[in-house]
Amino acid sequence: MTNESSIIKGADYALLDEAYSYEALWLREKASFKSIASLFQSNPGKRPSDLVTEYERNKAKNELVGKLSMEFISKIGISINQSKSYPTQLRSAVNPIELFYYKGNIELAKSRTIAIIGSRKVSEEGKQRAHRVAKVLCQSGFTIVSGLAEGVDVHAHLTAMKYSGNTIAVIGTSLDTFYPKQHKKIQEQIAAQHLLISQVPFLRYHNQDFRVNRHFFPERNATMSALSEATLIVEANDRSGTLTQAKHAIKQNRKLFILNNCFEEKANSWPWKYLELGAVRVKEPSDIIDNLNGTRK
Amino acid sequence: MAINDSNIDCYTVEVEKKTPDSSKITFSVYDDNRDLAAFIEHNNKADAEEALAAFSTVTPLAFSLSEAEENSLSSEQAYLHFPENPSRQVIEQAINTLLEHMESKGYSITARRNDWQ
Repeated sequence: MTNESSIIKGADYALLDEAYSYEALWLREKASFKSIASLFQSNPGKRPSDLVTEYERNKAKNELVGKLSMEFISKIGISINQSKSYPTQLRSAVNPIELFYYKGNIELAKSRTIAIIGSRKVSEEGKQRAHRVAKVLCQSGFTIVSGLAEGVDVHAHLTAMKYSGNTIAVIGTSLDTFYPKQHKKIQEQIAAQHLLISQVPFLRYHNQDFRVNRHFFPERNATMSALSEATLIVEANDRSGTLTQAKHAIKQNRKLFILNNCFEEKANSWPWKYLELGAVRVKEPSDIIDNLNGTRK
Repeated sequence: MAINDSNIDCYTVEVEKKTPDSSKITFSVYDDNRDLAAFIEHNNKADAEEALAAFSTVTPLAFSLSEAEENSLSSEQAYLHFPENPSRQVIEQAINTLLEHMESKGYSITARRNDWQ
């Protein structure tokens, strides 16, 4: 039987304690990203371990180790606010996450990033647009961020990897889960060669009513937007979950780009609304690069 | 979670069969046009599998259900997976097929909420 210390080796025990404490905060009744962010706002400088009892932390630790195994836990990256690995741009979110889990190269979170997002039922033209724009942007040095959903998201990730670019997947499930299941290999590849991020607390995710877990999908859109220098929408309709990210991008003062074709879709009213809010209408990938590099207004 | 909880972007149906052990199945699909997820809660594995098989005649669903504890009021939950990324229209059609099939097995529709309309 392998004991904890032989598995963790050089891992940071203090950081693991913060993760157990964060999990413990999420085990409290009515915990949410909003309530937890608000708890940290009213306790500036405090860490999760300062805000839970030893009993709560130990309970979460035992449950987590029992559910995931120490070996699994020891392979997870943990990034906490004010640590070296924590991307400071995440603080732009309305309810910034205090801690997240990751696998892969965390340094990618500090590169120039652009989120490419859109509908899961994307048209053939939409796929081609996603491919073209992701190719040009990753070849221009941008890391492609997306949510590993079907459609535009997965095309953006795959294109970045195909052209030897970098990509970050921000998932709306816990790090030990694959959803959609058919993206398991892609998720594993991103975790091994790029960066996979999840803000979803393991215990809460596995313990609560499964249907409530759907709220983690739109919540991760806020983080994805905050993590990225800009968000680009390739294709979406008026009721798309993609627009939750658009909303966050505007709130967080991030650049929001909308591909021209979205405006040409007669049934869509959202592009015009976001144009008024400060979004930028773009036709070519070069329009985005010029805008982000400050060479075009 | 009650069926009338916040159901944004969800289509939820509940069927029940008035028997001594009162079989009940709740089926829920979350679709915000970007993320798609489905869940089932049941206290009768055989009937739940039958319901999902009926759904799968329209668009396949991958699932693995556990047996609910015998002689108890507890129920089991499971995630369901869509291998083919169906449209909402197809999912709605598949839900109708599921409901028709369960009605033919003696179940009644006790709740139905479609937030996609």
